[in-house]
Amino acid sequence: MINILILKIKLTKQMLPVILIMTGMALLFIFIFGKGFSQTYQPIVSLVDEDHSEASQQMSERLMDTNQYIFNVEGLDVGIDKLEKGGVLMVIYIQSGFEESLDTEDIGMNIYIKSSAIEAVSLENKVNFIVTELANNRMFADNFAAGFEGSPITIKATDIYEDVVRLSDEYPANTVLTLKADNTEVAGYDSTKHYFAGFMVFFSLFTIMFGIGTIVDEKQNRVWARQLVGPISQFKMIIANLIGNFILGIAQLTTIVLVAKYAFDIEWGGSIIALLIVLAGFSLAGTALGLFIAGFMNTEQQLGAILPTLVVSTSMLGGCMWPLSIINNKVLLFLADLTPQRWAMQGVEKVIIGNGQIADVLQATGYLVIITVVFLALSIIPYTKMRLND
Amino acid sequence: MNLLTVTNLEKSYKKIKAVKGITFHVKQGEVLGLLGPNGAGKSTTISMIATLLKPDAGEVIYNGTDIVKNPKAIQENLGYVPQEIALYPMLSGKENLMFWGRAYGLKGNTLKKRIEEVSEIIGIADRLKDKVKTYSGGMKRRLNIGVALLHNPELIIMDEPTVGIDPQSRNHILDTVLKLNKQGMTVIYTSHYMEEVEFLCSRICIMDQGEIIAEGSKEELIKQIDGARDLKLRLENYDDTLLAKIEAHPSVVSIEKSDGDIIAKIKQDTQIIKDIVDMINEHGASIMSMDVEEPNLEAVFLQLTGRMLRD
Repeated sequence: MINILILKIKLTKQMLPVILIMTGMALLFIFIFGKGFSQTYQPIVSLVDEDHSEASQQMSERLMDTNQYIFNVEGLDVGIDKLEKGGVLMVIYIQSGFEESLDTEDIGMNIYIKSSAIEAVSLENKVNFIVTELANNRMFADNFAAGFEGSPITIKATDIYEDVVRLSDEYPANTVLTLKADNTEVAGYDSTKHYFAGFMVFFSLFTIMFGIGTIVDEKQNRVWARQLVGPISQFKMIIANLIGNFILGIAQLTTIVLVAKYAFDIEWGGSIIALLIVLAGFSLAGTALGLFIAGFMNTEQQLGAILPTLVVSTSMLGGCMWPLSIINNKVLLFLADLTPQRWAMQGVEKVIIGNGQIADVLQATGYLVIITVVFLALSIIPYTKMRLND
Repeated sequence: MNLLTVTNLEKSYKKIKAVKGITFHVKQGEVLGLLGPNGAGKSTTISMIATLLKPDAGEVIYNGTDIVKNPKAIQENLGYVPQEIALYPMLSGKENLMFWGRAYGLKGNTLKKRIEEVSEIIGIADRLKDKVKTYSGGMKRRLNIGVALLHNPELIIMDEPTVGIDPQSRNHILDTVLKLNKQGMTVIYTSHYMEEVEFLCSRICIMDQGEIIAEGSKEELIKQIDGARDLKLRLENYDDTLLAKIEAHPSVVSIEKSDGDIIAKIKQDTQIIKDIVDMINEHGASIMSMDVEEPNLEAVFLQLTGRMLRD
């Protein structure tokens, strides 16, 4: 097995151009998004408040807490005019009666958008989140007051609403806390970090998948068959290839992380170790997926045609190009769950956006390990078939 | 003593029956040739012996063990030379030999010594450090064989090892096979080149359409077709009555005209040549040239199948 590992390392020279190009591409995009955009680009948003209520004020304050946008408080006509001329990303129009509408299903608020840019979608999600939170707080106050009906104590919901809001901020109630936990990506979403995490995962998967694709070359040249004739078991051959490629993948990802950190001053969030743990899981899962695919391919031409399509489509599906929070289709979300990129992105974002630690990436890494085991088990089918029905 | 016994071996690919219940054996220390045209089932047969393919039916007994059930029994003692050049072109010859040597459990000085010995045998000692991709076709073929010799196998299977190479490299390979056999190595050699099989093999199985249609030494196989030879004549002043008279001779199998020549297929008979010359003289015709072609395996194959080996 060590013999095959040494061989794989020697053969890495063959792949050096691909590795260098993919690493360079990932670093280039990280540099562009990490340095070029993140510190200078803040979209401008028109905020129109016609309600002038406590709720609309809270809405405005919470939106402004997001440092990624510049909010101009102005009239609706001015805002729409700017939107049409491309001067603002979005107009958030809080209509008169907004506060009362929070008790109904018809919220008194309109959002005007011209582009479907990721920043606009992200802000729209945030607006929805805040509205839900405000509505929940009001509902909680109403229910609390209703609980005292018929008792000697009289409590009006409007009297305690302020306290509920204060308490929900200081000591978030379970419901709100759950919402925040489920919407980390939306609540504190940083699209530039999402982009460079996405590019890192996307480009490194190319190297990982093409790395394991050397098996197809070995099959084509009958080297694989020749190894099968020898005393090495096929299981050991597969595991050696898996380990060799895993090392290649994690080496590339570590290089990207370290070069980006020390050469471009990219902030990788809470814990580099946590980041590397999730990336190790991703390298393993990507390798297992590549192994499975390579089992069905007979020529490098076939692999060359299939792999880019597969990597690009699963990367789109898995959230490398845009956050999965903007997707509602359950089928797409289910398919996304099957891709290694989806869990890699979740883990990476927890670290670099949510300042997550090792414990925060264990779930994503666990899913990546499950994907590894599943694809490794499925790989038995093509490789066994290859041996017995060559 | 039989080193390998193959009994009723069968293999199908979907509806195509590639090997149809063949039976043969390989004696310790012999070179057995599997001769047949492309598609005869030779490669499928040796892939089953090499444990690469699982037969649909039949058994392959190696040193008393059924290797269909227990492939490990043969794997460590088998050297396999595939038809393709199964090497890593980006590595040097030495790196290739080291990888395959280690794959068979060789290490340290033993491996180093074997690499030196094998590279001498195959004649690439001076190019060991060069990348395989820079080798000529013949050198790649020789290294392809060398890889299979490293662990000093008891049995070596060579699947058309001389395809697409120059005559010089081919001769080198054939000499190497003979040398190895003299050292005690048992060889199964497949080819569709009759001359190679005739030159190398002590016993030959002729395969066609998944079956062994004849088996034995070269002499035994030729005997099976009554030692038929071709008598090639170029005559002047003759007509068809002379040809009819020659064809009527009991030792003449057939007669035909080809590009001005007359080719008579004749049986092994010491008198026949003299009889034909007498007939020509009696007829008043003149003999411009006469050539007797000794019977070969091509003739055997032709007689048994009605086709040429390379059809």
